[in-house]
Amino acid sequence: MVQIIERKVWDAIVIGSGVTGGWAAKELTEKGLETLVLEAGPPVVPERDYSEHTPPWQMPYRGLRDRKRQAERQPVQSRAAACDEWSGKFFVDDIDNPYSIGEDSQEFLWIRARVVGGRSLLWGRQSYRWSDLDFGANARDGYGTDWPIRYRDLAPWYDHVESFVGIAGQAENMPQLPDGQFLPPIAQTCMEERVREDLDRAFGGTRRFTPARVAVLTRHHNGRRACHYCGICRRGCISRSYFSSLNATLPAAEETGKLTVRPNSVVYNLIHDEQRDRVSGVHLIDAESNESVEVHGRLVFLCASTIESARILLNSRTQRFSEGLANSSGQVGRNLMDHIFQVGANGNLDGLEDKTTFGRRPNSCYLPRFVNLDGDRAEATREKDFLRGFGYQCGARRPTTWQSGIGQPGFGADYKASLRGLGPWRLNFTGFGENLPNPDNRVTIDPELVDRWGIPAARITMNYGENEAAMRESIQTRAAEMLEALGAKNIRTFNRNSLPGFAIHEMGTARMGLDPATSVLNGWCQSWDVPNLFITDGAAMASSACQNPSLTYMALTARACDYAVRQMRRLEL
Amino acid sequence: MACFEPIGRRRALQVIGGAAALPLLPEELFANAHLAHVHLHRQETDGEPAPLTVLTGHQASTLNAMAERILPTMDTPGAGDAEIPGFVDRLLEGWLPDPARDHLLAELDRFDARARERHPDGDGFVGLTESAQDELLTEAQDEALAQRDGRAFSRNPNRLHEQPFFDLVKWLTLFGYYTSEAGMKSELGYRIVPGRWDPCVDIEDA
Repeated sequence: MVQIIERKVWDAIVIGSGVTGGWAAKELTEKGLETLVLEAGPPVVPERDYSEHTPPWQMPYRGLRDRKRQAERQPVQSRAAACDEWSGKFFVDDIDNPYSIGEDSQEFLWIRARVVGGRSLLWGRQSYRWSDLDFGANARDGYGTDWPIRYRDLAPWYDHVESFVGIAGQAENMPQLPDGQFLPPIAQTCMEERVREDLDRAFGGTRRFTPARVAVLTRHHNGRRACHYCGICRRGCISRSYFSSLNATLPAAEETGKLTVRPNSVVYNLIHDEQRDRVSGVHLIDAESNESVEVHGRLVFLCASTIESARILLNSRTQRFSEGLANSSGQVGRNLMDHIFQVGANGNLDGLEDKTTFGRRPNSCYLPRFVNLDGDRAEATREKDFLRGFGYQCGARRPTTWQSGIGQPGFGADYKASLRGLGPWRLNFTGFGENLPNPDNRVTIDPELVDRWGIPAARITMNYGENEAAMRESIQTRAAEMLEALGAKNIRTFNRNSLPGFAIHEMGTARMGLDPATSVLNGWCQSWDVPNLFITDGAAMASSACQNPSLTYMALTARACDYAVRQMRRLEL
Repeated sequence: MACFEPIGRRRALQVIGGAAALPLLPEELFANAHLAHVHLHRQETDGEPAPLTVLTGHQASTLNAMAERILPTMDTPGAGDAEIPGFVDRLLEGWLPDPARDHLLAELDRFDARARERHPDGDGFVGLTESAQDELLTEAQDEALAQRDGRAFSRNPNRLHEQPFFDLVKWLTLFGYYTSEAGMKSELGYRIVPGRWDPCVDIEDA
């Protein structure tokens, strides 16, 4: 194998170009660091690769997907709704990028994008702050280890990232879901406004039906254009109206003149200098040439995503770190979490038959957690069957009639006329629930399986437990109870028992903590063992909360960058 | 300050539709990039429809005639203007599992053979009067109803070969029409770039 050792020593190397890698690149370059970003996949060229305005009739299968190719090359990825005929190209090839499932584990769906921009191109854009209900959760009930930070530590960094990202949202003054620096919200449909009022009345304001907070611009912001409501963000956005690394942070980093992105760079492991007790560089395989390459830097930010970052650490074995770099605690790879979802209820609402909507909005609504709250609401909201909580992604819309046309008898003019128009308003609640940290849910290295570049593959072992099962029941019951209070008809509950990984909110494999013996990172996302190594993707999370996590990853990344550069300047790294 | 105000509807439509000059240089760049982007995607698919690879010309005409009777031309285009044969040909070539493909092709020929039997002077289904076509389709629909025996249509690719012929063609027609340019734009009023979100409009205005 060709071995190339690049001489240049970068100020910082960032592994990954997704939501956290992009943020690390922006913050570090803006602080003056010559930064190299390593991305395992190829570049994405918006003018060529984005396809949000390509209508179905210009696609070979009209949106039914390249089924045979997906069955062959993307049997896992294609289970994700976003891996469609347009965006499937951003997802990994499952044959080139294999992983295995541990014994006695549920199936785990590891959904990945290996392209410049990573999963930030494809994310759901829901952006919620976490609160001390979340950061205090482990300390309160004893699952996992206590977070080393609280909301006050992160609040200014939420401000910092939100101001740049642009979050459309409505302030609600709810302690469990702190307000942020919002752009104007995306207005709720007339039926949703009614639902909001009715729920406020029925539940005394405790179940608040608010416009989903999303990283989509409702007005021009930092040189990016307001949303034009074409509706399918995950195919890209040529007006850069939704936040992604490619649309926002990487261009900002590039403007500094300090950024170099190296695509097609599959990281094998980190290089540890035992004498200096520092990580000195990164060993990667060039995905195109298969050359083995070493790059060097003074600071390394590992932002490869929760499972991939654990895999890289576990593949970085040295004499001192025989169980993987930065793993003296033995916690690397453990406490893997995701959110439970695909569970909830829906029903039809009468009225407003003469009303509909125009445009296709990039969000719907959110109903924040209302169970197991803290402080003076603890007693009134306590659930006896499970710990922690859930929120709902929800919304009311009118389905088009033609989609159920195959079930209607007939053909001809009358039949075609009968398919016109819209069905009644249908209100749906889909719960997203917290998953308790559990050291047995973990990533290890498969002893035999390797990927296309010869790098040992991840083995994932994960099971949802009794707490998650009990929570699923409650998610359905509580949703149905709201639908009943609203007078909904044809109420249906659903529970598709979502598999671990499928919410694509995986977290926890290198948790932050207060004690080096039981955690991988300190309160700054800095490795206890290797001071110039920072991990700021989902791996750092000590618990999962029930809110979508990306905004918190962003805030943690910006905060860690600030700390790292200050330490560097004090010559403490 | 003006550039940070929410853009009005007219302005938004201008931007997307015609790339009108905007006060900010980056904005112009995005607008141009947007057009380049749309243009690129059009280039790949515009022009003449791709030649058929599986269906014969006659089979394609039969399918088109069936589609047109299922969703006929009214004040909006019918499925006969929705390139259904081209769409079905792509599915036959690269999408449908073999059993479904064989089922569809065999039944299509059988259906057309029946039209010839009934009307020996004609050129099969495609040459019949509308009422004669509707008669044959009604018959096929009745057969489908009996075959289905209360079961719902399944669009699972691996179950398609079990679906009655009429239901299969009806599904292909519905899906093909409502994802075609004619069906989406004229029948559904679909706009690729709406330019604004209005959370509450009268249904007649939508």
